[in-house]
This record gives sequence, C-alpha cells and structure tokens, in this order.
Amino acid sequence: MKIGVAAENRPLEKRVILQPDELRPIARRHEVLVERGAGLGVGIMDWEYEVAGCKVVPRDKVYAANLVVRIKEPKPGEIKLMRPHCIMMSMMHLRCEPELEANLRRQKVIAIPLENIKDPFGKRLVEAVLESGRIGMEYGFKLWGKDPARAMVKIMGYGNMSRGAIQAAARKLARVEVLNRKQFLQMERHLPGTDILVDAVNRPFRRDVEKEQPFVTRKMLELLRRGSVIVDLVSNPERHAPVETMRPTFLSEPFYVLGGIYHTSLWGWPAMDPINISRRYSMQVAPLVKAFADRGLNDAPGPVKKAVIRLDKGEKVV
Amino acid sequence: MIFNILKGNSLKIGIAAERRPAEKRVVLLPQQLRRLAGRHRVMVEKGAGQGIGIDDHAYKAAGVRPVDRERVYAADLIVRITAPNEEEFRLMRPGSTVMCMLHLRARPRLAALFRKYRINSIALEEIRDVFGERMVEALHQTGYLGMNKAFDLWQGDPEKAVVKIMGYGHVAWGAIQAAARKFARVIVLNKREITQMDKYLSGTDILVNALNWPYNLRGRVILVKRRMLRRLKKGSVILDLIANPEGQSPIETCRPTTLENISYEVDGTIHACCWGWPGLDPVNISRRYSIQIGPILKQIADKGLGKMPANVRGAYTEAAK
Repeated sequence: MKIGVAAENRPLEKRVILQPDELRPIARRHEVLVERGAGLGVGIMDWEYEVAGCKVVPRDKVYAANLVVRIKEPKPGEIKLMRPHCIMMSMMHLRCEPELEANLRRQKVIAIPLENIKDPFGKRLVEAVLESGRIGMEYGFKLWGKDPARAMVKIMGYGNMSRGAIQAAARKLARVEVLNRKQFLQMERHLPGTDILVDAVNRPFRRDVEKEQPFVTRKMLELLRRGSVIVDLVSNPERHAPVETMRPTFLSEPFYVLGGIYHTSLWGWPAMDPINISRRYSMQVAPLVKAFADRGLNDAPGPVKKAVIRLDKGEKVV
Repeated sequence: MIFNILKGNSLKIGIAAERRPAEKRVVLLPQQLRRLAGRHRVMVEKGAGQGIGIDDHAYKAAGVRPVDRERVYAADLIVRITAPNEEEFRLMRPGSTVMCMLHLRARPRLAALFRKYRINSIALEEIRDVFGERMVEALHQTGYLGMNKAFDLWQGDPEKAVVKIMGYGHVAWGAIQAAARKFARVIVLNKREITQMDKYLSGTDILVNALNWPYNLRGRVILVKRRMLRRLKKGSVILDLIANPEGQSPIETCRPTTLENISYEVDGTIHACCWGWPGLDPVNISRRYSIQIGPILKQIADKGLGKMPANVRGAYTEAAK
C-alpha cells in the first residue's frame, strides 16, 4: 500500500503525525511517502525519514497515495489532490465541519477520523486529552505569573480534559477545587478568591445558543482580582463558551486581556507542546496504520474498521 | 509435555475461581476464551463464573473444560484476579506460572510463598503499554465505586457533602467524578496539603485516600493520626481506596476490610477500606478484565512462556530453580 504522511501546514503548527522510528517497520512492507519538510517543526530532518526507508516527496505525490495520514483535517485544496476511493486518516470532527464533509464526499474519499478510533471500552486510541489539560493549565500559570503554590484554581467540569488540569495544578501545589454542574449556575459565589478559572466543560454543540445564559457573564468578571486568568480548555466556537467574554485564540496570539482578566482559549491546545505531542501521536497512530496497511480495508483491526466512513459510497455522518 | 511448552505449541491453561468472601468476579469470560481454546487446552474451575451468572455450560460451549480445582491448579499457567492462598499453592506443580494481581512489594509473605513452592508469576498490574500505562486495570472504577459506597455510608444528602480527596491519579479521578456527579463540593488536596491534615480535616464530610503511597514511606509516615479524627463531625466517612495490606495506609486508623463487612467505626468516624473495591461491581469488572486480559493471554499462549512479549516479560518473575 502507498502511504502518504502529510505535513501540517497551519500557521505556527510544528507537529507531524508519524516519526521515523515508528515508520521504519511500516516502510519495510509498504511504500511510505513523506511530504518534504514535514518533520522540521519538531527537529526531524528529511534525511532521517529517508534513512528509515521512506521517500521524501512533494505535496501532490503525498496526497495521491492510497492512504493519507495527518493530524489536522486537510484543506479543500489538498482534498482536490486526492484520488477517488482513497483514504484520509486525520482528526476531522465532521459533525462540526459540514464543509469538510462535503469536500471529502465530492472527491469520493473514504474518511477515517482519528477521534473515532476507540477501544472496546469506548476510550479513544489516538488522543492527547490529558495532555491538553496539562498544557492549558500550565499556560494558565504562566499568564498568572506568580508562584503557583499560592494560586486558588477552580476547575469547571470533570471529564478527561479536566483531569489533566487537576493533575498539573496539584503537582504545582496549587489549591484545587472541582466545580460541579450545579455550581456552574452559581458562579457569582465561586468566582471571588479564584486566581485561575479553568473551563473544562465539554458540552454538545447547540444551535440556539443565543438564548442561553452563560455561566460566567461579562459582569461577573468584576468578582475576580485583576490579573486573574480564565483558561478555556475546550476552546468552544465563539458564543458557545460558558464564559461570555471568551472567544477562541490561536498560536499567533494565544491570549487577550479583557477587564483586567487574562483570557485564553487556544484552538488546539496540544499544538503548544509539539515535540511531546508528536511523539505521543506517532506511537498511537503507527500500530493502527501498520495493521491497516498490512491487512487492508476489509480486514482492518476492529477499532479502525468501526471508524471508517464510506463517504465515497454515500454513507452518512452520524 | 515440557517440550510442548518450550515450543509454544499447546499450553494447559487453568482459569481459577476467586475465593475471597463475597467475591463474585471471574477473570475471563467464555467470549474471550473461545479463540484461545481453539489452540490450547483451557480448563475452568467448576462454578467459577457463577457469581456473575455464567454457568459451566457457557464455558463448555466455548471449548473450555470445567474441571475440579485440583486439575486447574495443576495447569502450566493459572489465571485469576486475586492471589492464591497457601492451600492453592500446594496444588500447583513447581515451575508452573500464576498470572494475577500481585503487588508483591507490599506483600512479602506472598512473595515468600512463590519462592517456597517455586512458582513463577506474572503480575497483572505490571503489564504496561508503550506509554507505561497499566493494560489490566480498573483504577477509575475503584475510585468511582468506592466513592458511591462512601455516600451510602455517610447517609446525608450528597449535595451537601464536602469531599476532600488526597491524591490526583487514576483512582482519585474516579472518586472526583463520582462525587461531582452527585453535586458534592470536591476539593483535591495536593502534596503539601496532605502533610497538614490537622488543618484540612475540619469541615470535611468524606475524606478520600487515593494516594499511591510510596513503598518506602508505608508504615513510616502517617498523615492522618487517630487524635485528628476529633476534627471530623460524628458520622463522617474516611474512604481508603488503596487498602494496602495491614499497617501500610497513611491513615492510622485504616485497616483492610472485605466486601462482606466493608466498614467499621473508630471514634465516631466511619471507615471503609475494602481490599478489592472493584468487587462491588462484579459483572462489569469481570467483563473489563476479561477484555483486557484475553488478548494478552492469547499472545503469551501462542508464543509460549519462553517467548513472552516484552511488556509481559517486565511483569514476569521466575522462581529460583
């Protein structure tokens, strides 16, 4: 099978999905095509891929492979380079991205969203959720700027994302309180005394969000001391955040100050720690790619097979 | 026979029943054994699955032979969840292997039994994936089940409870989720705060110990002393999720209890320190372990005990010849 390893090409994005160490055993049986400069952001030179048995090629060759692998979803121009009935394996979050779905469908691409590959217990096999929480929390401490051991950290939500934040905060000896769903509705009681507020509430995408009352309104910011920090780990689309004044930020400008309060809501927290995250993804994705390539689409291992969406045959996204 | 094991052709595998009081779990379900039984001689102890409603016929249908206890322990590889007792050790043949939860560093007497009877061991808790995470575990479930039990024992309205949790690993995580879902106030105590428990006990309704307490501190450093219990209201609960062997908990008044008799009272404070919290949900936990252990066992059996995969070899201790 021809496997294309695409470069991530968002501004300031440094990660790469697969590294030479993990590609070596795959390249023994398959033709692995790596996009030129794909690993540069995390310090991997093209020749390191070549030594591992891969071919370094320009972009159009990568996207012409049978299976194209990358972290972030491809852009429209890149999808046009793909051949019909070939496979795209990347993070997709198709339910929030109808346009991406339409583009893939038009090109007759088979989609394997990485976030849908799960073990028998429903746990994602390719993820950096805990790490996202840790990275976001650490960035929050950085913005706050004082001794973390003196911080009062309140964390809204108790999913896996929150777990990373709790661990990171407790390790730095901060005081940690976890807020539950009823407490979200009384934030005016919980904001005073908070130095860093972390939003880790994973809520389903809602259409009529306009009518909803955010948990933390613009007015409530006055209850926080100046220089306090609000970290949004979920990086909700604009107006979807439980904090009224929060909007997504990007690597080029990860935070902004409003009413004396630092706001940060990075779209894709893992990108802030490219080296560790790339290594993690590579170790998680490589065995899946290998099994998939060795056995083909029909005999693919269960977790991968279940994630396949045959957009080329008109299958719907659920 | 021995020749067969070395070549990895066919292995005699015995699935043992658990034998703690009120323990209902079983380590492997018929579903996960079917493929294994196609290539190896797999036996199950009669009645092993009864606790969770799986009878011997279901095993038989999967190609697994229900046999007497003696035959199970005479196998090349014996699999169960909890460690065997001395009586069961006597049934084993020297040089055979037991795969179960061991925690040998905390249990020198158990380690001595393995040496005495010259039995090899594979510690389920030491089998790790490439990230160093345990592959066979119910850590989150331990915290979750334990926390819900603590609310039962506390008897008050969970929404009014102040829950303080020592630790922030996998087990603590389960407790945090269970408490937050019941709308309790949840405070996570960090490494500095757990050394000032005099200060943090006041106002606590449920104190949770979820610390993976380092071996070198066990029995030496006590974080919650008996006299500190005065700071708790009558009827408060101390939940010890890591119910180490006797005398190793960082809470002075905690000693391991069993599923049958989960809690006891000291100075007006209820203590719950079950050894084997996952036993509270035998059906789901058995299924979980079975799904986790099935593929690992198949790999071991197919390759033979002499050629175990690297992550299993790290969990393997060979008895001295």
